[in-house]
Amino acid sequence: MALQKRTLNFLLTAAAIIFLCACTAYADDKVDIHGFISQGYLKTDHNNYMAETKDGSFQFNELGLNFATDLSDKLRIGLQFFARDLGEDGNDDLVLDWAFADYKWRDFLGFRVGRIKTPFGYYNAIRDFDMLRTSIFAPQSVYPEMLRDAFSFMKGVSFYGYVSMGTWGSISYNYLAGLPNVSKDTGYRGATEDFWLFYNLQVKEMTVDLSHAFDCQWETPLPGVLIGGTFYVINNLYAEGTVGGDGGYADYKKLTYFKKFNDMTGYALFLRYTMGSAIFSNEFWENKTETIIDAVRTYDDPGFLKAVDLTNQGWYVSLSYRFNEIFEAEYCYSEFFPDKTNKNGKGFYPANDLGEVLGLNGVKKQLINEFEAWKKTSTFSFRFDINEFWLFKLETAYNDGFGDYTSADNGDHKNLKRYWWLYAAKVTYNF
Amino acid sequence: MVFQITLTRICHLAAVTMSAFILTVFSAYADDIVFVANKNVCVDSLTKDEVRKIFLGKISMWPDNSPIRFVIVQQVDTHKRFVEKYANKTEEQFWAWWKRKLFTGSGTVPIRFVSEADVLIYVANTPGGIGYISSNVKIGDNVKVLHVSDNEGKGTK
Repeated sequence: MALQKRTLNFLLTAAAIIFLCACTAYADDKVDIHGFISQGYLKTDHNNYMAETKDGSFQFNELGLNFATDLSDKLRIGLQFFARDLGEDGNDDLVLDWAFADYKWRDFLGFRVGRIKTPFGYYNAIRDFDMLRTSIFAPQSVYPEMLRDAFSFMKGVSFYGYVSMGTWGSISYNYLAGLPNVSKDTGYRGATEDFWLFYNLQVKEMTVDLSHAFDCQWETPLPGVLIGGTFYVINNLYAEGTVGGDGGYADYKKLTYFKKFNDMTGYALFLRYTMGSAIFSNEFWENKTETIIDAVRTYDDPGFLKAVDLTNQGWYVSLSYRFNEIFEAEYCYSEFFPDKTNKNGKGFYPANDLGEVLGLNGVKKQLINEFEAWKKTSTFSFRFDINEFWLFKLETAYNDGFGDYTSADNGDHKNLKRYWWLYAAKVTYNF
Repeated sequence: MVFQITLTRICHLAAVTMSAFILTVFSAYADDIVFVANKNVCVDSLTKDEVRKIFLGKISMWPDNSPIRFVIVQQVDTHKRFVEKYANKTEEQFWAWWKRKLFTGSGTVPIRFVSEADVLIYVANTPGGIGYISSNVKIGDNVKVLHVSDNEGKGTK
């Protein structure tokens, strides 16, 4: 039933977009209208990843439509509608992806106000746009789905600019302050519940405070070499919900309600070297989450208060090459560690050793399997540009470990496999 | 007899060399891109780097802070030569760049014309207009031809 509703949502949205496209013939030629629609298929041999992929899943599509116009030489406005479905996330609900007014006073200083794509690394702002990269997924080691919603956009204001520095190349910069896209209706909820799986957390509320991101990119004097970096702070990422039941840890401790306050800080650094049809890319990311947990017991209120720090770390290196107008291929190797202080899984507490959990450092994510402490992935991607508008992609990824947060259902994680393959195919139309 | 053969070979070699030279000159001429701008544009020359920044949307204002309005020609050979020589990108990378700006809201796809004659008309009638055409297209006196130098310091900023 839910699947039928999603399919209906998707078809209705697609119909609306086709209608709007048809209307472009009659639209004022000063309004630019562009869009894209894609449909993918995911399959894994073991472990559900992003969706119910062990059985194969078509719950993998995106759709976008944007409008923009120049109100004057320096002022432009635009907006983009977006819908996606990825397993339990998105469900083809149409949302406003970005919408802002952009006043460019000089090349070195412009302002934007509204709902603005968050600058983070090379791929974050374009992670939903399949036609802008060779691979189907942006490298998950640096752009995990867990943080997708929190990083997709902020409602706020940004200052940006571009400065030429003569023989030193040029620099572009972008500072954004605003409220990230966090609520109990976003995919971040599913990833949070997965993270606290052992407590059987059911999120009831999620909020966030004013946050910041600063991005800088340097076009070096060396032809084709681009170096960039992003620093961000996401303040007071709050979630609360019920815990307990199922005889798990929360049940054992008689915990019933759970509140967590996160402050998230992080940075990403990247290097891209473009030489003709070849692009070498390297990116490194760290994300520190400082969490305070306030859990309520049934019989001993206020329960306990714990502070936990966790630093995610990820990196990748990739090489893509376009062979001709039609065909492009990429190889990417990536590593992701949910806790950079524990890359082999030995330091995490076994799920069944509750006494040790209590006696040591308090609350940490409980790993059922050691290999949930890492994810090392080799990905081969093949892109076929059928024409200017249509493209088709195939991808296969060999994974060692399951150190990732996904809202896909993997039960209690006891049946996860350390080595697994992901196969993906996707077709996209854009105009 | 030997002298005749040698002379014949020299003549043959000279003819081949001259043909190659003429072809090279001709192809260089045919390969050239000419940048044309509206007559009110406040510069007479640009560096290659400035051309790249203009057509990638990194620079959007002339030195007098008037808006730059650039256009792309869809004529395949001319555009491909332009992209490779001046934008330092492949055709696919060039359009991927613009789609990136488009779908993140930081820019709109450049105006494209099918014919180079249309580029000349647009540039002539649009304040701040700049475009490129093949050098074998006749240029009227209603636009200005911009000199493009290789070196960073030679252009007018």
